Amino acid sequence: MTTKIICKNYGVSPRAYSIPHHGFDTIIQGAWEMIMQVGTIYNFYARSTNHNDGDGFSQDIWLAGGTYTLEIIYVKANNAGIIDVYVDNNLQGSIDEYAAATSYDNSVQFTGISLAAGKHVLKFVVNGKNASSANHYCYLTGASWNITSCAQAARTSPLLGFDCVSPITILPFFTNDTTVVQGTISPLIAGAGWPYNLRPMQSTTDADGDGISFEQYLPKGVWTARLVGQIQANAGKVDFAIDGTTKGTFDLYNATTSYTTAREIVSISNTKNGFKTMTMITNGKNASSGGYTSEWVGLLLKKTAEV
Amino acid sequence: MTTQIISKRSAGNIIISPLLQVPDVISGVFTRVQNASVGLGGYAKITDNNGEYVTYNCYFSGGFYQCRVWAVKSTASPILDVRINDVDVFSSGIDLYATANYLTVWSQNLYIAEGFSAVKFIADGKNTSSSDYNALLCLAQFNRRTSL
Repeated sequence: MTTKIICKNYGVSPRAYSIPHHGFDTIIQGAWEMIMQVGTIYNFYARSTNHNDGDGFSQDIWLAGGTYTLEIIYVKANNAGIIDVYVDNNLQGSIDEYAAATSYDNSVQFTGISLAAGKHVLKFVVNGKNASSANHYCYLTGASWNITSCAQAARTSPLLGFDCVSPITILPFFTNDTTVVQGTISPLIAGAGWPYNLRPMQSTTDADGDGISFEQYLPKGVWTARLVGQIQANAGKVDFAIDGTTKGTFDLYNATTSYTTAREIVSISNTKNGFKTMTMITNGKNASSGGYTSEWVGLLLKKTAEV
Repeated sequence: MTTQIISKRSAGNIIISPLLQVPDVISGVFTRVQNASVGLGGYAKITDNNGEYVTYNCYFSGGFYQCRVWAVKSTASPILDVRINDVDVFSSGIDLYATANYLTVWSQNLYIAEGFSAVKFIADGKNTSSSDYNALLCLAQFNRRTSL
């Protein structure tokens, strides 16, 4: 008996995302944080808090099989180190982030990265510094995986990986069929000081029950939803639901206002590929909160496991 | 016995972010510009003269998509065509001439075949009031659609 499983879904490319929004799946050394910087690309970047040699972290990425060019956007500064970039523990190259003058729009490409469909690990590790640099800081803004050839072999391998292109970035103004469930949604304008330099998906009425729905294709798997925006003393709780089933709640309350603290809902199980109706609706508030304000800018879905 | 399971399920959206991605082809200019007054913190200047273009080679799952383009309008901007494999996505192009403002525009649903497609952004003439061909692109996104 011959069983042949062919899946004609290799995902899509390019896959570009904000590194701080994705977050730090595994800390190799040190501590890592999200830094807001008005006027820079996407308005925020990841930074090594302790700025020691050897600091590092990794991110889990799910890609279709093929050959990729990986592009990294990073910050240069007079206190930055040299950053080794690994994919699945294979060194792709190093980035010398030192420069006498700070600049935010630097990019480097690593080409010819051959990957099987499925999970891969992108790792950054500080490895020394330029002799002129004052320290070992690491600054990373974004990553883009651009497929240059599709692996024929991957097309005929088992199902693993074909529906697993992750992460998925959702900016509310760019979703399909965004519908206001309740409240009034602010227009698409710049928001200096906010992640992505965008005004948030903000209900001007700030009432319980305010929210939106939108359509998104979601491959099967176990996912984490990671939200960036503003957490503050008058914020509500926001339920995240898929096809009418609540998957978790983002509590946006915080005693002090912060734009650099992401909220996460983990272990979201999706057993079937397909288009989903997702909703983000304010549902109550923290007992300490003074209101129901819901101000979020972006939602990133990242796959963590197969189902 | 031979069992074949053929799945044609598709994956999701494609984001083309010039701020994060250098184009595969640059016929004229490609300059990232940081600007706190613009969403995403900036844009890329992708054309300087009429006929100039940038191209991103993208891999699509076959199916229907809707394209959304987010660009900065200015008094020195052209009509921008978005083309997939040299076929216009917007029949009349996108007129980027205006006093400073954003523009976001959705396309009609369009079918894109499985495989690599060249997504080209090209200056194709200009409004008579415009003084130049500076196309300033923030983001383009192809959202997978369920049907027509």
